[in-house]
Amino acid sequence: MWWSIAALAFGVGAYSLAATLPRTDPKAAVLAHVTSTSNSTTKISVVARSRPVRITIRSIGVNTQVGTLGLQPDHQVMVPTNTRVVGWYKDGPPPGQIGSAVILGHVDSTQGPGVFFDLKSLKAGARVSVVLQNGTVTNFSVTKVVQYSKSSFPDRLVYGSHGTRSLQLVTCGGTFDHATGHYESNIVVFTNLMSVSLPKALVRS
Amino acid sequence: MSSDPAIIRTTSSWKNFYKFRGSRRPVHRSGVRFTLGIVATGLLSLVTLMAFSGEVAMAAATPINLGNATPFAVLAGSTVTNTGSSVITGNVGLSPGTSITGFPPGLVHGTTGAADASSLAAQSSSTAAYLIAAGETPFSTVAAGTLGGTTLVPGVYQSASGLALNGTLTLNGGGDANAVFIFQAGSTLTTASGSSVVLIGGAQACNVFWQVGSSATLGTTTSFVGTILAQTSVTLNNGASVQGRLLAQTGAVTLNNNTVNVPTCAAAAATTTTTTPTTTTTKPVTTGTKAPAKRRTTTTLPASPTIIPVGAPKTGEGGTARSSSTPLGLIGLGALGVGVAATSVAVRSRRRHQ
Repeated sequence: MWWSIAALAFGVGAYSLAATLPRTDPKAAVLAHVTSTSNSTTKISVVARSRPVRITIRSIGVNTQVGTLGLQPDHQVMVPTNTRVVGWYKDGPPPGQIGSAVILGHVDSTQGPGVFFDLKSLKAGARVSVVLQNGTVTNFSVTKVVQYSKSSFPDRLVYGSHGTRSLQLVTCGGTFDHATGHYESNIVVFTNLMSVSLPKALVRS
Repeated sequence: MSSDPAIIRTTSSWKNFYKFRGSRRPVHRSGVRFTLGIVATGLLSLVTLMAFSGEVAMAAATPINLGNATPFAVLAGSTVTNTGSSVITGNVGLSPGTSITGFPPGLVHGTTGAADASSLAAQSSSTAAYLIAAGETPFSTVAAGTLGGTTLVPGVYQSASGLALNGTLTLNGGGDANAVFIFQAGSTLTTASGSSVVLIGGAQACNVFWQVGSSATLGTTTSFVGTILAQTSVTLNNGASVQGRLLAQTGAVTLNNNTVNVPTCAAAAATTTTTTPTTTTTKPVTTGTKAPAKRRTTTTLPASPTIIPVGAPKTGEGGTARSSSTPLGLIGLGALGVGVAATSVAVRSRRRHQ
């Protein structure tokens, strides 16, 4: 009947209109969160200090090199020049040390997805492994995945020390603003050190 | 003499002088007491001036010890109410009230507690800090209670009635990371929409305090700095952000899509880039003893960030973003078909890039 078709068309039209209206990202949205903190009692006393060279996140198919990133003159952190590799903020602690190690990667380029395209879909408890230059493998567990509006990016929370051996993974997300050419939000994955595999050369019998 | 104004300031703040003498300059105590015994009061002023003139001015604005309230971003007496997706970095506490609502959707990076021991202790510290802030002298009177469009040097600023910020207030530390700014409002503190407090010259958010005789209300999208010590309530309107704390003694803290970050003080010299040695002193705590051969590479790594980067990293160019200019004409099955096609293209190109 004509009116049901009209109603359907109107409904779909309204939906499509809603989808094209400008959206603004919320200041923060928790995408994943671990409820049990039983693992946080893991005792890991010493991890030899060494810079990270490779990161593996099996659940989202990431296995790539880790470069180093410094600061720009305006105190913003640099970002990797290549969207298929990630970078470690070298003025912070390396993964495995007390404090917040931070690894940044691109969600996409103009050409297509970047190395951290699927970061936002990481689940609490997922494993993130980072190989250090000295061969140590540090294994982290995801505690929280949060989307922050860029205007309220929590610098100290992401880069500051909270007394734990943390690793934060950072990429872009949320709505893409075609006017500025940037995403409106960042995705931050919070992880804590769970275990360490020492390279054979360092294991004493 | 050019020192006359300083004498006036010194004699008008005897309380500070004695406090200072007792707590900060024990070395001078016996000497000053001896002087007190033998010299006439007028001469004493001169001695005081000579020994302390520089410090007395500094003593006027000492940072306020927040004690147990230090880790709290939000502390209220009656209720804590949040609307929207506020992000609070720091603890949220309530005492003696019991109702904290709006988390989630609000997010707290810290502890949340109502009518608990921690909030009670924090309230006690908050009240003490309020009284200390209210008693800080000497102060400069803020004309008409309005602060917008001005630049202030470290010190104590007072309005017997309310303080209002309309526009930008700039606080200039003058190169001193320990520069302290204290504002005393007899009644309310209000800010107009879009107002901001800007720190320059090494001034730090941890050293800015607002003592508010009744309640504070920050207008929409105000960008505010400092710890608010309010006798009654604190209200943040939509989108306001605070680098500081909201400490309300008896009333409510009301939030609406806000960001509140508890500030931490960087070391005194942290504004320069030559502070690496001070932060690397913590290195032995985490430096392993296992790999002496690797020391060459490990010694260059700092134990904690010497500089915390600012701003949100730009890690995307939108190649996978949904277009925001979908023609309205594409409805029904047509739109669905386009969607399916777009998805399969995206998936294919993603596979190609992995």
